[in-house]
Parts: sequence; C-alpha cells; structure tokens
Amino acid sequence: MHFTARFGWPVAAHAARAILLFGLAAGPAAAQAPDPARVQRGEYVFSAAGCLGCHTDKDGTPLAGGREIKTPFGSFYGPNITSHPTFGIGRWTEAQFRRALREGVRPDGAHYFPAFPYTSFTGITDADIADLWAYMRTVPPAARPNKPHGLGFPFNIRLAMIGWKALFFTPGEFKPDPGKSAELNRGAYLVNALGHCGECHTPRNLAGGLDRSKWLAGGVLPDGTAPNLTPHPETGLGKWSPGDFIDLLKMGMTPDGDFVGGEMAEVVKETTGKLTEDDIKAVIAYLRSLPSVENRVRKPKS
Amino acid sequence: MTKGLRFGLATAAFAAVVGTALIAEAQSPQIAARQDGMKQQGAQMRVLTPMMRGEQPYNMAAAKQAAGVLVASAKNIPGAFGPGTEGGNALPAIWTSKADFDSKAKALEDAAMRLAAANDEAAFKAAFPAVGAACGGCHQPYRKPQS
Repeated sequence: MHFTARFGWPVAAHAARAILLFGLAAGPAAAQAPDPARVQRGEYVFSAAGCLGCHTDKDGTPLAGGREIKTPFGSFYGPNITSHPTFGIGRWTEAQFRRALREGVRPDGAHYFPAFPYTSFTGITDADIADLWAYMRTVPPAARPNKPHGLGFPFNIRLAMIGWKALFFTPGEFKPDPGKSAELNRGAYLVNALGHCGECHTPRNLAGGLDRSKWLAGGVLPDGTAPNLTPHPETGLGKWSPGDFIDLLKMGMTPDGDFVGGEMAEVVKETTGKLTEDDIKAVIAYLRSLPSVENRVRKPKS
Repeated sequence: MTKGLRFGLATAAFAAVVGTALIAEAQSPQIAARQDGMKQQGAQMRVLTPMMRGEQPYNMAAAKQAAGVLVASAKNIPGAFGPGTEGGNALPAIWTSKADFDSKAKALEDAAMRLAAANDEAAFKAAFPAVGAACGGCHQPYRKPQS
C-alpha cells in the first residue's frame, strides 16, 4: 500500500505534467488553426524571401538548418527554423518572429549577426510577416540541433552588433514612394525587402556594412562575385532586353545561353522562378530604373 | 637499403605528381572540347528562347533542328566528364556523384527529345521549360558560379 502510494504520486504528477506540456505545445496551434489562405500567401512570401537556402543544409531536411554561409568574418550556420519546440522556433510567438525580421533581435533579446539579412527583411510588411508566420507554423518539426557559428575573435562578440546596427542598420517597414508607380514600388519591395538581393549584389565596406551609394552595383563574395545589376551598359545589365531578364529570373539562363551555377541557380529555383508574372515584371521594371553605377566586379587576387 | 628505398619512394612520388600534372595538361583539350560543346548548347538556346519569348515567330524547322542538336549534345555529356578530366568550370562534385550527374544529362536528353517532337507552337511552348529546367538543374550543383 505504502509502495503504491509512494509510486502513485510521481506517476500522477508525470501524467499531469505531460498533460500540461502537451496542452502548452498544442495550445496555440489548437487555439487558432492556421487559415489556409493565409498559409498559402505565406508560402509565396517564404519563396520570395528565399528562406530555404540558408536554413537548409545541402541535401538536408528543409529548414532544419546547418548550411554554411561563408563570410570574411568566418562561417555562419543557418539555424533550424522548423516548428520543433526545442531545436526550431516552435515556441516562438508571432511578435517574436516579427521582431527577429524587423529588428534583428532574438526572443531572448540578443542581437543577430547580419548574416541573417534583417537589414533587408526589416522592410517586410506586417501583413506579409503575419502570412509568413502562418506558413512557418505548418513546417514539420525537425529535431536537429543548431551548429555554433565558426567566428574568430573579435567577430564572435554578439554585443558588438549593437554598434554595428547603429552604424549600418535602419529598421523599418518598406514605405512605397508615392512619386513612383505601383509596379516600381512592388519591384523595389521584392528586390530590397523580400528578395534581399542587395545582400550579395551590393558592395560591402570593411566592417561588412552595405555601401548604399553603390546599391546593387555588384559585390564580391568568398566564393565568387555577384554581378552589377544596375543599368550601366558596360559593367552592369544596361544591354539586357526585358526578355534577357525574364529568362534569367525564370530559368537561370544568361543572354549568351549559359545557365547560372551555384547560389544563383538555387535562387532561381527557389525564389525568382516561383514569382508570378506580374512580380517578375515588377522586379525587372525596378532593376531597369536603378541609377546606373559603373562598377566592374572583380574577385581580388588571393 | 632503407636510404635507397626512401629515395626510390620519393622519386616515385615525384614522378607521380609530375605525371599527374602532365596528364592534366595533356587532358586540357578535353576540357576545351566540352566547353565548346556547352557553348554549342548555349547557341541552340539562343535560337529557341526568342521563339519562346514571342520575339521571333515560331519556326518549326529551326526549333526541331536546335532541339535535335541538344539531344545529340546531351548524349555526349557523360563521356565528356570522364575520369581524370576534372577542371574548368566543372565542380569536383561531378566526379563524386557521377551517377546523379549522368542522370541529369539524361534528363536534358529526354526533355530535348520531347521538344524536338513538338509539331506546333503550343507543343513547343509546353515542352520548352523542361529543357531550361534541365540545364539549370545540372548547373546548380555542378557548375562553378560565373565570375
């Protein structure tokens, strides 16, 4: 009797705790089952923002993290953003998710390194973030622990990001320019906020900040170069016809009939190739409206 | 004896290194040849895409010819990336995942075959995207990024 009593209590407690935990885990999802229309819109935002690449290891489980992102400061590893409660972002709230994108701040208050392109994502509208969040909650959980970033001193000091952000980061939702057409504004939003094209295609200074005077005029990457997208006729895309842009964005073909390799091929497959016809047109209109910047992108000799 | 053996091994290693370098040098025409082959394919795409875009009227004979060249060229791809021909714009992954690489070449061959079989503009436009997807699908894992 005594035995059962002694054992009885913890068992009951476990059961109660299990119910409590289950209740907590299932609670938010059960409270508001995601609206299918919202999830569908969120999936489009997800593609347009190109989340998959950095958050999925080569041939790995989608969004379970692990992809190496090489930078001059060291290697970052994209984290698990599946709905797993421990290893992913399953316990996050929508407000925390919005803050991560808009302000580059983790739920615990720590600052993200700008390898996570919140410098661009800050422009994503509240409506798109809400839809994206609805989609993220449908991503199946994957129990894959995050890999620590491989950064050397002093770049591993997360607190230094406060200073970096003060210098190079302007938080705020994208505001359409009333002097420009709806198409140009949509293109600017797709390229600069969701598509975060500038993160590779804009040159960076020594501290890793984007050189906004040479917006989209090409960047140098650890494994290659990202071309100048401005309409400069010699060093940019000034000689491209609208059809050339369409072929590149939809299937990755360059005007000489070659097909892009590496990261850009992935961008075409996961992002630009999934845009609607209207959005492709908007992207092209915006790129062709950019100020022409002469900048021949060359990989420095190592 | 040990000294002699060591010398012998060193000489052999040296010879192997030089020999490999010489073979690589001797094989560079193979890299040049396959790059020409890829450029030929690019030239066919430049014939096909204006018709796809509607910038040029659909011309069945021209479309079938270009698609036919792609079929023939795709058949050559697996052999053009044979053992010991690493280099150029090709990523080393080709030789560590050769079966997958070859299956991607076959995907191009099949897609180009279907394009060559198209007998009107609608069929052409329906068949074309798979060809582009095959080109891009192989360049993504196996071609060096353009610089």
